[in-house]
Amino acid sequence: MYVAVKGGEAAIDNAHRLLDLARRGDTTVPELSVDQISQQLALGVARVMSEGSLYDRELAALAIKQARGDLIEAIFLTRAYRTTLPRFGYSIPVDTNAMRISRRISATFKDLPGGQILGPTFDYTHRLLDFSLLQSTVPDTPLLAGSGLDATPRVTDLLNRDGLIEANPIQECDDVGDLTRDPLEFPATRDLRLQSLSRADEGFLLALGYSTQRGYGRTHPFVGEIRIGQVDVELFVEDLGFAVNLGVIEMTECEMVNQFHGSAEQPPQFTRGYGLVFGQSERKAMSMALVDRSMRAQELGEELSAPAQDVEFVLSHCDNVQATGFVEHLKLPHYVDFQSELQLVRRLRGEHAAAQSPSSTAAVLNKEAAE
Amino acid sequence: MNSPGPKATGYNFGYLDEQTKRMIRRAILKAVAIPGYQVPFASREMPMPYGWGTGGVQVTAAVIGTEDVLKVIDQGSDDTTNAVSIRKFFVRTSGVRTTTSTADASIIQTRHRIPERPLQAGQIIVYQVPIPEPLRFLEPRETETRRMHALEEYGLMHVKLYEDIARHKTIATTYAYPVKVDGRYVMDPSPTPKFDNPKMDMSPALQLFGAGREKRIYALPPYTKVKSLDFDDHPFEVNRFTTPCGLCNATGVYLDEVILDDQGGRMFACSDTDHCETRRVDGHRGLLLGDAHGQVGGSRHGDD
Amino acid sequence: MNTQNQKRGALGVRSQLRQKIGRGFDDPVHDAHATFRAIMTALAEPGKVRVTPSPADAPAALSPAMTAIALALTDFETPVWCDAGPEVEAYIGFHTGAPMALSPSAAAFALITRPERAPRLSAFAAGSLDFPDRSTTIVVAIDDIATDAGWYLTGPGVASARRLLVAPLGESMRTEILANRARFPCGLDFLFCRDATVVGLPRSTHIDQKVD
Repeated sequence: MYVAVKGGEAAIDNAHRLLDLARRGDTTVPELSVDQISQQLALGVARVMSEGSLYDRELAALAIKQARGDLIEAIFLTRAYRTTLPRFGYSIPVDTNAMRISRRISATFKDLPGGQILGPTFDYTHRLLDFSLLQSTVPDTPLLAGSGLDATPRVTDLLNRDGLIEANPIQECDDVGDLTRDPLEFPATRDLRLQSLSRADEGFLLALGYSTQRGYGRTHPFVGEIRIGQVDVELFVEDLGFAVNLGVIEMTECEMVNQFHGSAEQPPQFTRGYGLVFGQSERKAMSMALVDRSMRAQELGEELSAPAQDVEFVLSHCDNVQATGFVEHLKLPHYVDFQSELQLVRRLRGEHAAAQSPSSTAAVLNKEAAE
Repeated sequence: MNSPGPKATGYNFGYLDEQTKRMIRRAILKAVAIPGYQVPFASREMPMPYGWGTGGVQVTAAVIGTEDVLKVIDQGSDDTTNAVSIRKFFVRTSGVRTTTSTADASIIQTRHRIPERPLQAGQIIVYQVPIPEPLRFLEPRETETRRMHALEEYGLMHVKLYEDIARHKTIATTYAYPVKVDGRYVMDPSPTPKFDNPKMDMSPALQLFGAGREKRIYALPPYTKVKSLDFDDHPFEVNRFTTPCGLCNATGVYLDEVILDDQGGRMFACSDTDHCETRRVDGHRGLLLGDAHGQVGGSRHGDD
Repeated sequence: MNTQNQKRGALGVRSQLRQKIGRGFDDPVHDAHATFRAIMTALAEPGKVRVTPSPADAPAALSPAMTAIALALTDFETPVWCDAGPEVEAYIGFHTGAPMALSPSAAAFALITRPERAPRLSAFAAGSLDFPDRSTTIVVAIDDIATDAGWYLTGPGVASARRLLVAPLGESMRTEILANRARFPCGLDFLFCRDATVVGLPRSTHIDQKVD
């Protein structure tokens, strides 16, 4: 006697209760507050804001808590929330020249106007587990520079003055695409490529950027500059006739300076790769800049041979919300299509066996097998 | 039929905001006007994962109204977990009535099956589609496949099918079997078994296809010619089962194989659970049903 | 939600027009839905007459069906070409935020209230072979609809030939409609409106003037 499987709804409800319990863990341990996550897991929060395309520390922290620390799940929660929000308009482009800088480094010049500012970085920490963090700690007070930091012109602008680097390939234009409102179309223009990369999975971009360093589409990169700090977000209000400040966000910007040998038309000069992401996220901004430059291969007349140069490949696979959904959908039942394949394989095996040994066909053909 | 449940507050009817609905509705209208052509649309992130029916959900959300009665199936069954989850989503966000009965539904959202009971005029079936491009496995580039559709250049597909015949003496595609729509566009029918392909041809129902992750919507108006690709010397054939359903004794339906033990024991039962249950209520009995025919796994209508 | 914001913005700019502009749908969500379903089924089954909601306060120059279609389908993403004058333009702009198309070929929707004086249909967008969906949907006001006379329609959505007479169209438009199918998959999709009824004629439909 066979009874078809039923009760899916009850099973789902109970799975949700189990999830709530597992999320909370041992109730004798104090529950995490969203503030704690926002303050003390700030780089995780930055990643969720960046790939979730929603700059809101509290919501990102909430998503991390709800997702039990699974950042891709948290990014998904953020995106799904974001998509329900009304769109009031488009801000004017943020001005990273006017960034209030907390960290700024250049690998191309030992010193430069505005100076090198290390800021809060893991870079020169020795990666030794700090057992003192097992207890509560009160950090030492760092020395802080005065508020009036010198002007910090861009490295690329300094190079551009001498014509050593190409002019910025994106000029200001009114018609900037938006892949959240229009389906992506290929070949994608650089504005859409950059938007896509800024939302892209950090790990995917890291691996692609790394691959360009190992010879799969080399671009000879130098970090012209990485800057992290706060920028204003402004909206131009038609009725008022001027831009109003909507708030301040933290961003990481990376400008790569890449070698280019020139062509018949152009003398040799450096080229650019660009990365810009929410929050402090140097690895992502640098990877983005590497991949952005790689995807300009066709425009610069370079040989196309590597995955990171393939715009359609990169943009079709860089979104972790899409990727995780489709990979994980393999968990869903597929028994209808599998049954089709089972039938075919059984039949083909039967025919194969019959061809090999005509007399033993009956033994090989499973009598219950469907035709 | 289930009456409307409590509606979630804070979200618009059917979850999507009106601007998103308009965008999807405009895409649906183009899809209906150009049968088989994949209309790009600005698919939104939905509160369920990409690949789990977000395209179908967006299409249903744009089409559904308070008068509708919704049925959701996955693998032919109303009670598989993802079908339950999607049905619950619409009950929460639209409060519409739901049913498991194919005959009573005005909108049927499906993954991988077309119900056995012939669809009727006025019904709408919404397919969840993972990869809408039938040429994708032959040519991964969108730029290329778009040209192939534009120029009606489907030779590559015929080559692939013919290679199957050369190797296996038969076309080895058993599901997502490509079709040609009204003599023009080659279309992916979603991963339904090819057994279901003939049901699409000249169906009185409106058939809508939504691919969320791939951002495409396409459609078959009622009474549209849908021909499965084949060759004169190798005509299209559906897969047939030699055994009837073990529960309702139906033949000529699509069956699930169920493994009963680790000794090779197995049975076959209707994939379309509503069809099977309706037949059992009507007194049809399969060999493996036993005596407890009342226990067909709970109430047909008690899924809320 | 977007349109609400746009409305808020438009209120200040168009405050003088505000008194003159009639109300839109009584129930924006469900009236838009009912209109969409009427249009979808109209295009899915060419030649069948469907009923749309009637916005109570529609501008005099637009039939209830045309008004409902504009309210249900247009917004800031869809340029509209319209021959019905400033009152209708203000009404559509106010309720939907749709910009007026600068040329017929830029229009996502064309609202044609005087078909006999309309521009050549070839001036509207018919899409491309790569993107046949990038075409203008033509919404036309007509005085008479009959389903027992006129053209014989076949093709997707028609089980066996269905008849349709829509008039008056003018000779030029009539000729261009008859030639529309030959451009498939490019072409125009038509919604013919009278009062609160709509009939669809998508580009997929074959039109014969008599039975073969």
